[in-house]
Amino acid sequence: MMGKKLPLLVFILLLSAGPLLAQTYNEEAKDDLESLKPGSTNFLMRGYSHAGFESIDGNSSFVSGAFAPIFLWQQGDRILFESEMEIEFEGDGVQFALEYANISYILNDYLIFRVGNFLTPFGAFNERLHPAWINKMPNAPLGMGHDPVGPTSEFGAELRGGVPLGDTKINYSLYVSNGPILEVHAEDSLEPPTTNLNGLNFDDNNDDKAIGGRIGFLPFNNSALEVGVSGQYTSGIGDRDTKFEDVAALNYAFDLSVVKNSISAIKGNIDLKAQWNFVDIDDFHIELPDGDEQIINQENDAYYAQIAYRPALSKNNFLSKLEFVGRYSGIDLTEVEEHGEESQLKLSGTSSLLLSPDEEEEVHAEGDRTQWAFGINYWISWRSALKFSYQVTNNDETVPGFFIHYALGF
Amino acid sequence: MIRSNIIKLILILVVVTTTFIAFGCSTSKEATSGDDLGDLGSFAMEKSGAVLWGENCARCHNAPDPTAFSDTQWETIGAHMRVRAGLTAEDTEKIVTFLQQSN
Repeated sequence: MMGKKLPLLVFILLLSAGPLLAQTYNEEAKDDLESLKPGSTNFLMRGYSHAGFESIDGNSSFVSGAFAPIFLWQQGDRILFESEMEIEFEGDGVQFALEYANISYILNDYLIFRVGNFLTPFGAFNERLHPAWINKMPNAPLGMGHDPVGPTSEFGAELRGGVPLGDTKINYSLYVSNGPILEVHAEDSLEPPTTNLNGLNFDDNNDDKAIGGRIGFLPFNNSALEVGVSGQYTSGIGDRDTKFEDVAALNYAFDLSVVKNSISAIKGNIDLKAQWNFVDIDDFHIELPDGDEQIINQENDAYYAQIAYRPALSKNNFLSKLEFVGRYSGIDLTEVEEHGEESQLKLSGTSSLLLSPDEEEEVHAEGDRTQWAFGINYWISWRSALKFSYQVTNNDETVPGFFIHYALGF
Repeated sequence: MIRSNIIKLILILVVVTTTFIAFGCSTSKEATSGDDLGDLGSFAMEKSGAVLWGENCARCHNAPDPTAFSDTQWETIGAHMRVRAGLTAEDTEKIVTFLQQSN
């Protein structure tokens, strides 16, 4: 009799143990999930890389992958630290560069305070479009990359934000920074003076600070059009306690962006970008070893316009991932002539060498150049693309270039 | 010099023409104002996070795949993009919510 009841008893015990075991399991799972719950501190590494093959004027080479990690560290809802490094092969070794490192504090819906080293909001390319997976060409437009016309990064403090105005929007930035540096070589040198606008003024060379900003206006409620105006003024860019201390610099830029996706009439997307940078530095004199004076007047500008079309609505899967890009860019630099028999120079865009009061000959500055670039991109994913580009750079001679790059954002 | 000015003039024409094409030929209906709602007149619809995601991200780069990052990561990326690209607080919040709900 007992032998018949035993299996039944075991079965009842198992049934009653089930919920108990399940409850224990649920509590363990809950504890596990609780341990995975994010805290108020979030750390994220993003960035980009690119590598490929280039042939410029017949000299071909594989180019190594640049690695640009971006570190984001968020504390709560208001504090964000961002920093970007750029690591790439240069010469015989590897070059490390800190592109920017800054802290933002979100004050309210319309106002963000930022301090540290940040990309200059001068035009749009430098701040928003330069990463390899965003830039639709393998390289930057002339005058917008690492040898720019205009400032690229600042050591300073900034207020910025985005504000809705009915159906329109604006975004703005206003900053104070150490500003650019005028580097003047020793007066017994025949080297021309140079002006550093790349933001490496981390130990300010004088007490005059740069004031600058950018305002972007989006007049349509679909955010397809943005028009931006940027400016930066520094009342003195020369070294402290030198006669160049009060040489002023005025930089300004205009930028335009038109982006419209899914246009059925053309079965795809259009992306148009344009920017024009201007740099104007006060005239100043340098005294040469033979007692003559040279007038230096630096007025540089750089510009580009780029249009891209992607037939994203094409029924052909391969075609829908292609993007066709065309770009024209140029750079107009003043050229400081080495001192020779002519001691009086006036340099402005295309420089004019005064041979005599009645005879003026226009001289095209050596650094001036223009570039046509055409490209086809194949988008493997939303953040990785194969870029094929053919470019022709015109200076005194024509230099062709062919590029194949693979760009990856992460 | 003349050649350079002609090229710049052509570029300006291209910019103007492209802008016209982008806005003139658009056929996608964006029901965001009373004009699209017929008799409903002055009633205005708010844009969804999905619409804002497409419009704002594409200003600089391809709109990201929501599955590319976790909810927490989207929070940080949203804050970063708000600072970097000057997004409004409201747009940022809606876009991040959409990405978190779609990943």
